[in-house]
Formats: sequence, structure tokens, C-alpha cells
Amino acid sequence: MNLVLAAEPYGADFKVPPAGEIFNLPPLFEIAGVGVTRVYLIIFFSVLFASILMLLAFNNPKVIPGKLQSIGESIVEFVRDGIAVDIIGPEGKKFAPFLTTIFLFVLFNNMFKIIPFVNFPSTSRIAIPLILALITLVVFVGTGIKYQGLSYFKEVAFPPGVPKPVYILLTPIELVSTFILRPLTLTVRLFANMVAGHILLTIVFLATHAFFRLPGIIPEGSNLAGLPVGILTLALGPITVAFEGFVSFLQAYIFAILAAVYLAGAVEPEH
Amino acid sequence: MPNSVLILAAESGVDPELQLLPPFPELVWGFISFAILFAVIWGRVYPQVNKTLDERRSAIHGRIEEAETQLAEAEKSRRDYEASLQESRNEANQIVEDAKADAERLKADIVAKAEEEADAIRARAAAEAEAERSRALQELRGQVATLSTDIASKIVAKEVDQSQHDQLVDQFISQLSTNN
Repeated sequence: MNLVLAAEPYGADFKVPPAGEIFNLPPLFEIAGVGVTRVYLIIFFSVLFASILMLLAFNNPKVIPGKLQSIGESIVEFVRDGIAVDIIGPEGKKFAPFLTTIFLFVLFNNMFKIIPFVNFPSTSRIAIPLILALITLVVFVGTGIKYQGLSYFKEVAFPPGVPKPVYILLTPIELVSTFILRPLTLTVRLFANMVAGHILLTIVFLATHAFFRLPGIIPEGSNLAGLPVGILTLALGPITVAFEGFVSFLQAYIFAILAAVYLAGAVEPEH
Repeated sequence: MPNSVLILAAESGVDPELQLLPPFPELVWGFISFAILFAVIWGRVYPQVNKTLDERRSAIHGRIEEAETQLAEAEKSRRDYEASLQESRNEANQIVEDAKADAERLKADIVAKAEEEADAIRARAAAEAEAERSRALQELRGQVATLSTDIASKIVAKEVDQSQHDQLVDQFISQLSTNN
């Protein structure tokens, strides 16, 4: 927060707001006793846009695809062949719809942080990554039981090829890492990335707003000492936005890949 | 603008700390929205995807097969053409060979005929010569006979002595032997 202290003598009304003020949004209106915040709207529109995109792409599909169908197909092939089949194997095709849903859901929710006038990723509210991680947990445990029966838990707790005494140490570690740490890391990775990205964008925009004073729109008696900072943050704005777009995509990709890795372990015992 | 949001947030008295505990409604609605998207993708999009990709695969497969058949046909017609060309070449060669053989045969015939004729001519000449000789012999014999009679008459006329007579006979005989 040295930045804030440095800024004040130069007469800029710049302060980094407390995190809660950025992320805890007031309800806009109430439906059935639930205060609807922007988070709900963003989730709603994410699902809407993703659904519309995919439905339009594959509405009346042609053997020789048009533009929109090509986009839809490249998304599907990216997830189905590039993630599901690649990591899980031939069985992966069964999980392609699930992984595609995860990928699109995370991607669209992330992308709202660089959409002008929205500028808020719903995945920076911990509930969203958490529920996705819990769904993933349920799905991969269910898959493990379906493919390996109850010996799935045995495989997890007692990985073969280890001397017996080591299990005293290994079994708790394996159980905790598989059933607790996996969803937790999925949650925190996405959540923390989005929070950090959103704070970064906020700082860049607010600093530009505070320090960048153009001739002619300079308020009377304002200090111009902060102008270089303003110019710097103005130039950084588009770069930051592009970078955050890339991070949004990357986090969606990582989430889908890890879900696929956990599913692969559930389909076949890991060795 | 973030600023307006900040003012709103401050006025409505939201928690200024970053929340790390999920509000329950958000979990529920997050789950529901995920389920909706999953239903759309699993129920509506993926059947279409599989259908499309299968159709495309079969279309491509059909094209490839078609192309392969065409290729095979082209190959076959090329081979046929080459075979017929080869056949024509062979035929032409055959014709030339036949012509050559005919010419050879003709030549051989002509030569043989010529040789035959030459032989015949030679034979005729030999026969003529033979006939000439026998005629000459014949004539000679006749002459010898007349000569002998002449000689005999001369001898008789002369009445030669014994020695002369012997001599004459000897002479005559030797003459005869040389003539014959």
C-alpha cells in the first residue's frame, strides 16, 4: 500500500478500496427473499451466452461447417480431443459433455472481468469455484465407484507397490489429498486468480482515473505531479486487460484439465 | 465505472472484508446454472456434434472411396491402353518379321531356282559334250574300220614281208589302243 501513501501528497484522490468493497456487491433487487446481486446476473448471462453459442453453432449442423459451426466445433474438439480423450483415453468421450460444460462455464464467468461495464468475474466469489469443485469431486468419485466399484477407495487409500509399514503414513495423506485437497485446490486456484486479476484491473483503472489529467479537463488547483503515473497506468490498461483475458482462458483450461486428470484416475487405477 | 460501484457498496453497508465463506444462495444458484448449461450441452449439443462428425467422417470416407475407385479405374484403363499399344507394337513387329521372312524365302527360292537352272545348264552342256564325244568316237570307229580295210588292202597289195607285216599290225594295234 506504499502506492497509496505516495499518491496522496500529489493531490490525487486515489485510494485502493478494501477488498470487501470490490467483491461484496449490494443486492440489486430481491426475488423470493434472495437479494439478487450482479453475481447472479453474470452467472445467468454466462450460461445464457454459452448455451446460445453452442445451440446456434450446432443448430442444423452441416457436413461442411459455416463460421459459427466452426467455432462451436473447434471448442468441442479442443475439449473432447485435446483434453478428454487425450488424458482419459477412449473412455474420455463419455466425459466430454461434462468437461465442455466446466470449460465453458468457467471461461464465460471469467471473461466477464474484462467485459466493459461489467468488469466483474463471478468466479471471484468463492461460492462459484467451490460449487464447481464440489461437482467435480462428486463426479470423479461417482465415476470411480462406477468403474472400479468399492475397490476404488482401496486403490486410493492403499496404492499398490508400497511396503506395508509405509501405509501408516501414506494412507491418510492419500485420502486427504484425494477427497479434500483436490476440491480445495481447484477452488482456491480459480478463486485466487480471479480475485488477484480483478484487484489488478481495479487498481489500474482507478489509478488512471485519479492521475491522468488531460489539459483542458484539469480541475482548478489540481497537482500535475502524478501525471506520469497516470500515463503509465493508461498504457498498462489494455495490456492488463489482454493479460487477464489470457488468464481467464488459462484458468478455465486448467480446471477442465485437472477434472480430466481426476476422472482418468477414477476410470483406471493410477499406478 | 468502479467508483460508482464503490459508492453503492459503501452505502449499502457491505462487509469491507474479503469473504471466504460462500453464501448459501450463491452455491445453490451456481449449481443450478451449471446444471442448466450441462443439460444444454449434454442433451442438445453433443448428440448434434456426434451426428455431424459421424456424417462428416462418412462423407469423407465416401469421397476417399470414390477417389480410390476412380484411381483404380484410371489405372486399369491405362494398363488396358498400354496393353493394346504393346499389342499393336507386337503386331507391327510381326508384320515386319513376316515380310522379312517372306523376302528371305523369296530370295532363297530365287537363288535355288538359279542354282537349279545353272545345274541344268551345266548338265545339258555335259550331256552335249558327251554326245559329241560319242559321236566322234562313232565316227572314229567307222574311220578305223575303213582305215583297217584300207590298211589291209594296202598290205595285201604290197605283200609285205613278215617283219613288215608284224610291224604294221603292232602299229595298228597301238594306234587303236591310243584311239580307244
